[in-house]
Amino acid sequence: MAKKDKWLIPTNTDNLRMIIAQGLMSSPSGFSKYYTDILELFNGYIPLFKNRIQPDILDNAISEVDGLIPCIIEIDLKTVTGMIKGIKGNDIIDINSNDIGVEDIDILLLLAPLPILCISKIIFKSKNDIKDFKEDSQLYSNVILGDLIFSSTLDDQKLFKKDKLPDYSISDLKKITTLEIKEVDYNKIYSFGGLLANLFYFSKNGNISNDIYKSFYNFDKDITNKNILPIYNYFDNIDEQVAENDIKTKMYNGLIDIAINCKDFKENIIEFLESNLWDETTKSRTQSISDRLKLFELNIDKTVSEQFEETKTLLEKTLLMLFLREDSEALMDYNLDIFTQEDYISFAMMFGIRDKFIKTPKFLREYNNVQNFITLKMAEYAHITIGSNIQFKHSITPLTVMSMLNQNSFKKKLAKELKIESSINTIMPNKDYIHNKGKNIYTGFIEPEYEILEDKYFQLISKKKITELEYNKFTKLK
Amino acid sequence: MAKRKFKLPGVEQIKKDQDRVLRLPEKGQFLVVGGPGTGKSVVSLLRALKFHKNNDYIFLTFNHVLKSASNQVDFNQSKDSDNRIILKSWTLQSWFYKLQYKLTKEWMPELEPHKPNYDEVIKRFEDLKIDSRSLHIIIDEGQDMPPKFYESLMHCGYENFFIVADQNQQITDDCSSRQELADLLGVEQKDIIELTENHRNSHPIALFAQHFFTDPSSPLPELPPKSKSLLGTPILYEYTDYNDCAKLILREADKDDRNLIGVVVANDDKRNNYAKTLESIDIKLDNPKPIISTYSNRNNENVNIDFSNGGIVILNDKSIKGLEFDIVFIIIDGFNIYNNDIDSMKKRFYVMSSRAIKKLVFFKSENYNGGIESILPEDENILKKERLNNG
Repeated sequence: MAKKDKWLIPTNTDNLRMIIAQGLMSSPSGFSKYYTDILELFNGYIPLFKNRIQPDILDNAISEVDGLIPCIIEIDLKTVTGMIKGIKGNDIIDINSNDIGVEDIDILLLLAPLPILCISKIIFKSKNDIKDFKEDSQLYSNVILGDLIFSSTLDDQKLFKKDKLPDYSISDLKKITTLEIKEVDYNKIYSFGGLLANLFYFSKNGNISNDIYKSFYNFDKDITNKNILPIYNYFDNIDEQVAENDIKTKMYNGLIDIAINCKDFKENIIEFLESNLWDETTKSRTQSISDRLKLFELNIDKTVSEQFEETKTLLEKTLLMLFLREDSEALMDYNLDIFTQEDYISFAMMFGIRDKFIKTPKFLREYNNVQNFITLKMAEYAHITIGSNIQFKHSITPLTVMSMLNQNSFKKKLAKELKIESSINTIMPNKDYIHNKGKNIYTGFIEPEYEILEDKYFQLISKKKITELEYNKFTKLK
Repeated sequence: MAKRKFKLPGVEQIKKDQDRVLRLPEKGQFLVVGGPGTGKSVVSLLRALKFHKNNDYIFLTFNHVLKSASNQVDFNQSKDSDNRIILKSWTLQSWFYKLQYKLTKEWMPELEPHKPNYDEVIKRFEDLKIDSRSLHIIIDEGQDMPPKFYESLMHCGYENFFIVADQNQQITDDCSSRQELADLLGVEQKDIIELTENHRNSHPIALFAQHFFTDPSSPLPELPPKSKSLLGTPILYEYTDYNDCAKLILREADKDDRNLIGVVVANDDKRNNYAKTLESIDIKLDNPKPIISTYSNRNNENVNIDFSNGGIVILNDKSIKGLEFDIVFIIIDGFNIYNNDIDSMKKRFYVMSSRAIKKLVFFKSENYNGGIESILPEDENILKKERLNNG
């Protein structure tokens, strides 16, 4: 690849805001609010222009309504590997990502979606546009600019010149047809992102939580927990038809479908529980859960903790929590002594699925590297679901609090920061020592081990909310 | 008490019609209309935020409670109190009185107490021959001020107006219609921005509020998507012992201590009674008893309500305009229809009920006979009716 080649996506700042908020550069179907631009020309693909953009393509990006501001996203192609398509004449050819510099191609078509970390910089027509964009971003809860780079050098500004170029115009591009590809189910992808973000947060609660988070982001198949497995299987099964051999799977699949796709969660859950999907035996159980949820809504004569105590299964408890709290951030502010690590994992997953990545709490997205990592995992997952061979190179795996605590280099300092010393035991190594004048004397250097008492630790940590300032400080403790 | 954060909206929550408002030029006259919950206040707050850095705006609201709520919006959620953004806001009336005095050094000419003689004010301002002023005037609930109020401001040199209004939420006699506002601002019909989608209320609450829509000249507000089950349908509880109502309100507050709960009453006696009962009643709760606050504009008190925390706020219906609460309880006792003036009572119920985001509950004593039943919907799909006896 020639070193100085820039690969560019023309769009507008409104779409850029959505891309940052949703975490993916997707096809238009992946936007919950979309303004016309070049993305809609090649369904399922993201067109990248080499070094320059025909003015009518930029004009198209600001054509839907008055007042849109153009901008150009520059992609770092070194972060993408796999087979890519290129436009040559009126044809579309396949190119290996390693051969891009070799082929004489001016437009590439990358299979959507791309994660934010593929962006090398965002180019604006003027410094004023950058200033306005940054200021406007503060009006929203989910436009976290993080380490994105914004640029408006004189060289960059030339990209916005109106001079006609001897390149493809919009009408030329419209004549080019791409092959049909499997549609990405963006709702499911964003739900996976929400789930993963919440699991990252709740992984602080202990090793069980930490292991489940890792299993999800590594797409492992080693989950054995019978209450977590149906959720894992839902996301692991990328075929349309999910086998529903047992009531539990059927129940979870229905709940997750509703959480992913329905706008009115509570209403739809009640309808689902009271529907005719269930056999006679199950029906009485689902009806009783529905009745409990309806009573919970009325809230006439019992406290919330009393109602949680009356639940019989984790599923019921999770549903009650979904009815109690509006979103993931509200969940993170809530705890009861009766909840176990497994309860929080279940809550975290279902809330993440319902909220999707776009509603991941701002403070969590501001944890170092978390936004980039989760969007990367969403993009990887999306490509797995459509059978694409696109992969992304990265070196950003944010450490969970539990992983930090499991490392000796972090453990002592972090335990102090978290004020959880009472849940740590110090163990001296089993080596010979001399007891002399009240002192235990070892030969050589002896390092004690610090053991976390998980039950005690859980009681403390489950009530503690870790802010972005705290987490970011923890990452520097090593 | 749990913090009830004002959350800045997500990009996806601002719809395209609201985006259009946010993209409006900085200078000029703009009129935005829409029903309850269509995001008028959100766009006006966000517009104010745009000008905040240069400090060349004023955010005006109709009543003290709304001003207080706007002032407490924690936009940047800064942990450093010095960096917190505090909106430059006033009530329309007090700002106007202050402005008039500052410019003329004379007391406000009044037709009756608190009713300015606008003709006289306009004459005074004309005599002063004031140069044009660049201040951006952002007005929430702009329909509640009369056309001559706006004329006065124009004679005072102001040119940049951003007014949000809803003709169906007029609660004063001295108010402006949509047409009058458009004419005053020189905004053509096609340039009036209409926000139509209700983002606040659930479908059952919006459907209930729609029952009280009285404006024959405008179409019914759009309803959020419908659902089949009756979860969330507003409920009217008929009670024997009003302690039961207080208990239910407290349990609701305890259920999620981040929720802000509005208890709306008809008069100060009811307001005081509920405040005392909620403070004193003994009930088992998971959390400490919620903060209970109240306000009346009768004694020119300062508004001492903490809108940034969860809790219970008891207000007369005239004070809740423009506010929103997670849950609203409306105490029907004390509301009476006089002289068969059904329209004005409907307007009051329209405003009250559309304040609720998640849940709307009514209480009515079994001895009540003030005539409100005649305007309530009979359809149990719109308003469920039950006896309250929660022990």
